[in-house]
Amino acid sequence: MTAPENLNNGIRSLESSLGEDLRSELQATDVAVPAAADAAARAVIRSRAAEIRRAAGRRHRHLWPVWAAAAALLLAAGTWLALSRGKSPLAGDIDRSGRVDIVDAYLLARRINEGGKLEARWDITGDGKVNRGDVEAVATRAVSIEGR
Amino acid sequence: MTTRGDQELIASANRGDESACEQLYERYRDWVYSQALKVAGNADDAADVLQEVFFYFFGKFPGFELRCQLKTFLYPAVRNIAIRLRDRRRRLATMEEVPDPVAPRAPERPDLGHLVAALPEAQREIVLLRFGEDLKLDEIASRLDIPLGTVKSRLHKGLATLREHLDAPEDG
Repeated sequence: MTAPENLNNGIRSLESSLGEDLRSELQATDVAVPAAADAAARAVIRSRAAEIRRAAGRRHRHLWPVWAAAAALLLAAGTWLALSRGKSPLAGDIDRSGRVDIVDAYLLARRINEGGKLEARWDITGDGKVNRGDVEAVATRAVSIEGR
Repeated sequence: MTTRGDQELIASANRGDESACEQLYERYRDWVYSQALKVAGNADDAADVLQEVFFYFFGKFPGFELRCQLKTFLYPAVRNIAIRLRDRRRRLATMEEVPDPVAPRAPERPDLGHLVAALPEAQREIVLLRFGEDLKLDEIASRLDIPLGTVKSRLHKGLATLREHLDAPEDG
């Protein structure tokens, strides 16, 4: 016997033993609700509907803290970025003065000449090295933005 | 005017639309009251059940999501509230009688409705449609938009569970 046949037979067998009791248990001829009971239930429903409206309104209001938190987060991120930029000056701003000028080119040239410690951020040309090429790049940038 | 479906009414009720709440109530009140009357056995308790069931139901809003037929969702509530009120009335009645502590208690028949209410929702839904509304299996499949094989398998599981509980020897 196949599985579907087994299932069908099983259902038939169970329905023949339980069906009558289940129908008797579950089928109820709908009885009209008496007027007084209906009025009382409607009063409950009106009251609940008002509470749902209030709760739904509160839900929307409850979203404000979420939006406020998101805005605060964005503001904090913006501030952090701005501060980060302050800490990490413009490319070529060797002395972190907030501007790139000829002094930066001079300082970088002197550091290279002295064989002092070189920072990766001074790699202005992006060739992976800090050398004379970067001094020239800083000088060029200093001239082009001098006075800004 | 088109009739709004339960899901549509529930969406409106979730926003506190009183008219949607009333339409849902009007759609199911007679069924709830009749089932309650059947279990509780008297009109006063059935009226209380009616109020409590809809108070419970609308207490789920806002945020209520209907994942089955509404009768399937309401049925356990109707039965449990009706049984609670019926039992309370019985206790009150027995308090007024002189109890006979040695009188043997007649064994209580397993309550089929209670067992149906305790079935998993997916099985209860099929059993209610099959025996409560006398639908054929293909009609149930069409109503619930599920394969006929799923209907059969859930019905079989549900009925087998009921049979098992009814046949189990009573404790004590």
